[in-house]
Amino acid sequence: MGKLLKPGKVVIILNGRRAGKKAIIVNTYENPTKEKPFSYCLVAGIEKHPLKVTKKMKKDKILKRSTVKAFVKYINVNHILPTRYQVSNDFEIKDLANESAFNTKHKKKKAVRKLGSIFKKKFLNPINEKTGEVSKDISFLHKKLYF
Amino acid sequence: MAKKSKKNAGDNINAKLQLVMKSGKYQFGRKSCLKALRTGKGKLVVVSSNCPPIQRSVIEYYAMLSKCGVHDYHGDNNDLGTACGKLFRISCLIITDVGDSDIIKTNE
Repeated sequence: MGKLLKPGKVVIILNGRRAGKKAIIVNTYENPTKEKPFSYCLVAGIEKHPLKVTKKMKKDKILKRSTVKAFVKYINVNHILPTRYQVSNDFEIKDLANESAFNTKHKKKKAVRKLGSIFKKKFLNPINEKTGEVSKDISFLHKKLYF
Repeated sequence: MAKKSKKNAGDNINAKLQLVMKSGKYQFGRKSCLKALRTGKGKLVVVSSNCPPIQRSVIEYYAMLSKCGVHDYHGDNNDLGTACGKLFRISCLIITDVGDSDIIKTNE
């Protein structure tokens, strides 16, 4: 009977502009605060998935199509659907997103760009060093949810 | 013969639900169910037969993730409300504290 929303869990965003996007929980804040009178999570997600890539394409084209646009968001726990996938082994979860990113617009842009490049690197080279194979969780994160 | 045992099982769950209502802690409704499942406090989820399929799937998925049992009640949401001694319909209820009942052991 453990808690569901642990850091590293892959979730699907249900409401808002990012509805249908996949994200990773970085941090959970269970106790409501004055500014946010509900339990919420800090999630790092993928706004625009990498495009499909074929063998025929040249290397720079592949690189361009593999760009990932990311987002960082505080989101109400009710607007998340947790999945059975966990990415704690493949990413340094704390490095994905930081609370300080929300201080200024400039900082947030930087953080989001950095996050995009982390995702891009991971998807280009998805093999986990420890296990030597691609985890199902990364494959799930990689694919766009069609609905 | 099979019918008889079904009826027995139905009566059993009703009796156990009554005991939970008296002695344990529970929540009614989808929102409360999901909230309890998210925090891992749920022990057993009871779902009525005419619970909307998407709602049912979501609750079952959450319960699977948090390793909580799901019991499909042999009856309508009206019946489940009556079984809990309430005057309203109940589509899904979650038991967070069993009290004196052994409803979880029998469900396993």
